[in-house]
Amino acid sequence: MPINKKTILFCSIFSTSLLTLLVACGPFYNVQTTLFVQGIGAVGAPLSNATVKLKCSDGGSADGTTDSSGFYSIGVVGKLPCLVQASNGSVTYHSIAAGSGDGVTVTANVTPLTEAIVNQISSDPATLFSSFNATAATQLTTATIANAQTAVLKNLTDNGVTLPTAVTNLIGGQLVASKTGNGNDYDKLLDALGSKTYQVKIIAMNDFHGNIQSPSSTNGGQVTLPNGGAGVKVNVGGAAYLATAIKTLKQSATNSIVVGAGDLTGASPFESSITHDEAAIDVLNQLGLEVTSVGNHEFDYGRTELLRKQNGGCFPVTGDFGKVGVDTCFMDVATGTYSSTGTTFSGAKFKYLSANVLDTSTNKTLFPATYIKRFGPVSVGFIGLTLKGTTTLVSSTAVANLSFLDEIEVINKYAQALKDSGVNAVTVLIHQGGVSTATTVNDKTCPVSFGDLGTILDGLSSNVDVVVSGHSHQEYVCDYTGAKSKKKYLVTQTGFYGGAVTDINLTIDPKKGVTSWTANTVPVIQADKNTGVTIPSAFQTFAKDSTVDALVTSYVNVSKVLANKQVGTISGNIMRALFTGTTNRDESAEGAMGGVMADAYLYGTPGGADFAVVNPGGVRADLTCATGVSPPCPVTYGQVNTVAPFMNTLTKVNITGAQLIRLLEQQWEAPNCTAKINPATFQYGRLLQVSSNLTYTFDTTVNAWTSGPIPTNCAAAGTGKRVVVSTVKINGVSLDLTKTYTVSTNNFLGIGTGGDNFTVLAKLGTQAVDTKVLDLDAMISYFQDKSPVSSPTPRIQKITSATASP
Amino acid sequence: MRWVFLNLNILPIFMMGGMFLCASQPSIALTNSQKTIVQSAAQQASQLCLKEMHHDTDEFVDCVNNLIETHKIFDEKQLGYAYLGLVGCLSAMRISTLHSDICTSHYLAVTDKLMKKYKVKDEELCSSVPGNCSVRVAQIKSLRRKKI
Repeated sequence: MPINKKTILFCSIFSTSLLTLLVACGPFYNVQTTLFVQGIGAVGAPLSNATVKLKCSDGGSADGTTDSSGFYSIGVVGKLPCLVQASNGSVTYHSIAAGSGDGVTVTANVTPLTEAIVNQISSDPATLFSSFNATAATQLTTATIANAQTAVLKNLTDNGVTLPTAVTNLIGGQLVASKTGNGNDYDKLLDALGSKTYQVKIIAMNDFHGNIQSPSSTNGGQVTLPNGGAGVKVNVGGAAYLATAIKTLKQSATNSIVVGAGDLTGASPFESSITHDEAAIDVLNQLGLEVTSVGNHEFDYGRTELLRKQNGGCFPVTGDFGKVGVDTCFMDVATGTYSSTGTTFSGAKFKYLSANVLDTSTNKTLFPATYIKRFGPVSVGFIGLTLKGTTTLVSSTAVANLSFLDEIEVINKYAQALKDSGVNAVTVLIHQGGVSTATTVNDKTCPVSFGDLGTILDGLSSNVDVVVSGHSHQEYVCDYTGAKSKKKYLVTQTGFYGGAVTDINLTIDPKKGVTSWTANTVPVIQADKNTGVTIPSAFQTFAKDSTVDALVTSYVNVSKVLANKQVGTISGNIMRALFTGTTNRDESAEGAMGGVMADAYLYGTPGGADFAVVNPGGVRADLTCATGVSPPCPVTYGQVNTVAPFMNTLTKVNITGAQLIRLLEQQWEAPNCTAKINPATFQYGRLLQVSSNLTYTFDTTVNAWTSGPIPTNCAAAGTGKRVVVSTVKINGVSLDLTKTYTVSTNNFLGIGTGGDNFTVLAKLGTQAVDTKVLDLDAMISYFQDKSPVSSPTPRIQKITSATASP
Repeated sequence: MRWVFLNLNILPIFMMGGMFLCASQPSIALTNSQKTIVQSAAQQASQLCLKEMHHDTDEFVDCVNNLIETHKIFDEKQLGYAYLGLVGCLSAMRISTLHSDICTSHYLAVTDKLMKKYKVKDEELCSSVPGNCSVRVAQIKSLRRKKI
């Protein structure tokens, strides 16, 4: 309960006497006592008429108000430590009441510097305050608070601020706040802080996708630098080089932070994916990444696995996976990084943010929405989001019970909240991006088609300053004027696979916010891999960081052991359907590799099934004999993983024969005829890859695509009649339209809403069971038991215009 | 076969066309109405297809090819679509997006064929897609030289 200033002396004497009495009485002294927390709220000028709230470790709480001098004093029945929050409607600051004073009357000034102290302890002081309890209070030790204050004072000095000798205790020290410059040294320090500007460097990355090794020169490993002519190509990327680049940038600035915009893991190369991306997390920890938004690929393996990436713990035991020291838990408990004798995975040291991802059961965000980083007297708030369309990009089981909210509304809401809490600059980390038509990096003319991101930018409020984007694997540094706010935002993206970072430098005025910026894409140019290349003077090269290099090597060695393990043989190359003369998969056709995969699904389904179907996009590679090797050729674990890299799970679903026909017709019924098209053959659609015991014929002349930017006469959903029903056979027996069949498929097709427009299994099917058997495990078992595996004969026949009856 | 001009198997034929162009640049400009058609087509392709650029260039190529197929008889629209295809792939090459080298060669050949037909210069075409024209034109000319 609030107690007015006039009663303080009486109460202090009374409560001190009471405390003495209680102590004298023995063990009862730990009962709740009335504390008096007092101090000055100030930002330079007094924080007058501000609402002050106390929250103590035992749940005790009380409110009060500052007077015109910024003074407050509040009595509370509670136990130290307590958190203090003071807000005057335009700024909110926090402080800690933790035992200074006589034990009953405690001084806790509330200033931007006490906010900085609390921010040293928690990245989100407002949340720490709102959820403060006995558990949270355990981190507020005397040593922790002292260390936090030391860090804040050092940061001020680093920023060129001269500290008055009398100012040594920011929380409990004397503070006389004045509007007219007549305050004491502490007050003059606060005045001085507000009269200068501060430089903050944000080092941004996105879409790293677990590329701990240098990416190939044809896939993210080269960039073209501007050189006044046609540009010059340089080799870039690799975590060891990236580490040096980040260190170099950090060393050039007093205030810096490393941030990400999502897809830092997921769709990763084998050397990371085989450890369930624990390798990438370990490396990113070493790089000093501090906060990132989640991208769609972070959801590839579901919510539980994503939470494990943040919080730690070994990958759960399933089939060949979940073996400590083999595919999971390589970290040493003490060091929190790889050790050859490691047994744990301590999770990401950086923070995931998901402002627009809600757990529908609790209506709370999956991860925190925001993160605040304070640099001396100024602070930058980060809001992390993924694209709303994530639900269409990953398996519905992976995002079950999660809702993805509209980005604009969420950003504006949290940007306002951040500004209300006194944050000076707001940076959005969003996994959504535009596409550039620049032909060298750092093209400041910004020839970018922003697409969906542009819609978002146009709806943002003026509270936002910087947007770090991702997802589209593009590179740009742009000034973008929002349609709604008419404000200019800095919008960046830095390519993919760690080939570059964006170096963002903000000038922040504590009173005005961001007043200017500079930004550049900094390619991670490998110092030892560009011999003979003339590097333009605006760019620099980076040597390998030996620590990160060794860490990467350790994980690569782990992956090699597994990758080289032979799991079976093939009697010749087993290929996907490909566009003629290319290595691009043709989803409109049946392929041998898809057939083998479907056979493996059927073989590995617990309890069996009548037949199996696989989405064509789930067949990611061919299996080929190594050069010079005669069949039967060995097939390794690593090779099979490239075919089935998604960690999908086998799923059983019951459907009727009539529903199977409907499912097959959906192959050509994507909305607006947007299924895949082979321009050479005019075939369109996504042809399910089927097991050997499902055979049928379809008529390509029905609803055939003729011409147009999109085919205009393919069947609308539910109306297709391409399948020749009389030809459909299961195990050589004609399909019974009324009979129920059990289908083996994956969770992408069988659970939730069904992916790639195949809704029949997920929506009409019955008794759906996710067996939790990984499709990769099923593939490996199939090769172990059925080798040598050969290219199967086609199961699907086509009637074309040439073969159709006149 | 109506798709023949996009068939990668005959790419060398188009590359030869590119070599020819490199040797003697045409000098007759597009009319204003032709320029408008080219720019409009490039813009349409930009809006429809650039968003398909992601892990690789495949979906982008599919999208541009579909647009080109719309106009089986060579016309200015095809030039706009093909040029956007070329610039999109060339742009993807600056960050080595997977398959960007292949599709750049492909659309360079297609574009060169159409540029020859309409007697248009690189410099004239460049403004139909946003970006730094001096750099882009230099790069395109360099690519042609490397093909010889």
